[in-house]
Amino acid sequence: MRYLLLLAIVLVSLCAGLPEIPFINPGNATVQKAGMVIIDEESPDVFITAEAIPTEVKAGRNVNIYFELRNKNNFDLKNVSLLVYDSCIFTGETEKNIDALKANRSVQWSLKLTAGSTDLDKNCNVKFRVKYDAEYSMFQDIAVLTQSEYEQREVSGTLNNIPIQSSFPETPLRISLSFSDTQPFINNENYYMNLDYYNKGNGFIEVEKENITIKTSSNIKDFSCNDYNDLALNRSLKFIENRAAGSTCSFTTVAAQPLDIKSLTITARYKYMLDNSILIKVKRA
Amino acid sequence: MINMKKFVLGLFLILLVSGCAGMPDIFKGLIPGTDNVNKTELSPDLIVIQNLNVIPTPPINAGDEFSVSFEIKNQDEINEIKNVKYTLFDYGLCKKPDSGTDGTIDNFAPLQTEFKEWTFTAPQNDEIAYLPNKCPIRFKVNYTFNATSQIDVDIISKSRLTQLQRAGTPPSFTPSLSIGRGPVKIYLSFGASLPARDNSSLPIFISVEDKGSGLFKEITNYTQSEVKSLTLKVPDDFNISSCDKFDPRGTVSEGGVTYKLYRNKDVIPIIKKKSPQLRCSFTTPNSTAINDLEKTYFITASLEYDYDITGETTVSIKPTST
Repeated sequence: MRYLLLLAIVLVSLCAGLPEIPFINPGNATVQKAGMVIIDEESPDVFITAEAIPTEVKAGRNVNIYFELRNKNNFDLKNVSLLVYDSCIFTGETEKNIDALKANRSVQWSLKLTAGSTDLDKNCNVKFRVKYDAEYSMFQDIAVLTQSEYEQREVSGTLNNIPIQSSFPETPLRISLSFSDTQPFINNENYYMNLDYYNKGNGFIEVEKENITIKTSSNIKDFSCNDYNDLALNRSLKFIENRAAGSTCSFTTVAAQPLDIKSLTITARYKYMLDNSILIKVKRA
Repeated sequence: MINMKKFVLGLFLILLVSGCAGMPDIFKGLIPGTDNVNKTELSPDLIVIQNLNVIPTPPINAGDEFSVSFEIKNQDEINEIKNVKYTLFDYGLCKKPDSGTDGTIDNFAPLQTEFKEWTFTAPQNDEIAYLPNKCPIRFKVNYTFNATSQIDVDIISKSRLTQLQRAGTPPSFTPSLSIGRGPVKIYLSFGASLPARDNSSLPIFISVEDKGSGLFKEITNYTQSEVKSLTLKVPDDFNISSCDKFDPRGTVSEGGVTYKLYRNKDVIPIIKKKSPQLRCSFTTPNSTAINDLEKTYFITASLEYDYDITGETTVSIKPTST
């Protein structure tokens, strides 16, 4: 009897989870209706709108697609390009690019496309890709105390009063740092630092070899990472389900004074690609 | 204890009929050509015969005149149909109308209705041996129309596929099949999982079905008529690998895009209103043609055909006393 009840509960759990409940899982944050796309939340770097005018066109007639890209970040985006890679039955200009999109600036592009002939009315999903290169730096304070200073603060309960800061910009490439022990560190001890790489956007990210570099602080020595050569990444990052294999670094602390706080800087360069589509209805002539 | 068992059994039955209703179709895709397709099918009824009347109301006295009237309607809201012919081909012992037994509507406008009337004379008493009789009045309406169907297919490159899979969003694609108006429908489907990989084999299944109330006997081959054969229009980036029933018949350029044309070389019979399934296989475009990403292509099948619909009524004739 108990087993039957257990079986029923298991079945309830299995089956109840099958239908998707829309208000629990709102899904993709892209706002999309016929002829218009707004990309915001899924792209930490850029805000993109694409609008087709008109949204419905007869075969042989023209449609204009207006794109606006705004750099939401406080660093420049380089080699920004737009490519309509699947133009459905439209022909015309399919590429636009600029060398740089400065911080908080926007660029507007308009593509004029002509609908080809069609035997039947159809819904065309014109697919496009926005691609850019970005580079940013982040820093992490490393606080090292001499043994006596550490003990003194431990006794007085002021270990947590040390201001340890870090700065991580809102980017799709997120590098998360964690240490083998909580800061502050003790002088002349060995520690490990783990770097985890995440793609926080909905696009595709490419991080090539040597595109992440670490500038160590003067209060650590013998810094070495398993997949870094001369403090530069020696492999490209492959993101699987928005996460790439992490790296582990080891170092020894060196305190030049009782409380020595210095910053470790990481500079990352990445290529980002955002794909989306805009729906245009084509009616036969 | 018994109540508890009933409760569990009840719970189990509820699960069977409700909770698991949303389960995915695990057999979907295992049978070639049955993949999920977003199908848009326009009405099969194009030209209809309506309001068929006999005046006066039968039975008709021997030797008397009566009229048979009907309406022919073009139900298409967009297409004009040319050369719609109507022919009276059977009227039994009744005498045919003086106005003739056939006619043509040269331009049948969308939603136009044409009223037709034939006046017959019932047979004389001696022709029916003073016995009740019946005149079958049979006529046909013939027209030529073009069946068109179009299906889209997404071709994806290996690198794009890897990129999407790594991102945890494996691509899925449901082709949209648009089937044009008219009684003869062409159905297209694919025998491979979609989106299709670049430079891979893509089987296409084609079948023709008569969904109207009339008569469509066969699909002529291209040696008999190029336009009245079944034409497959495939983007130039696709290369044929096998297609037993079709021959290449040149190319056509539309809106700056070149398509290859394939037409049936043998007559295709329509048995029980359906053609046998025709299979072709194409090699999909290479990665260069699709920008090493993905691209939507459209495959069109068309067929010009003659279609006959028939109208009939039976008029009772009664002998008159002398």
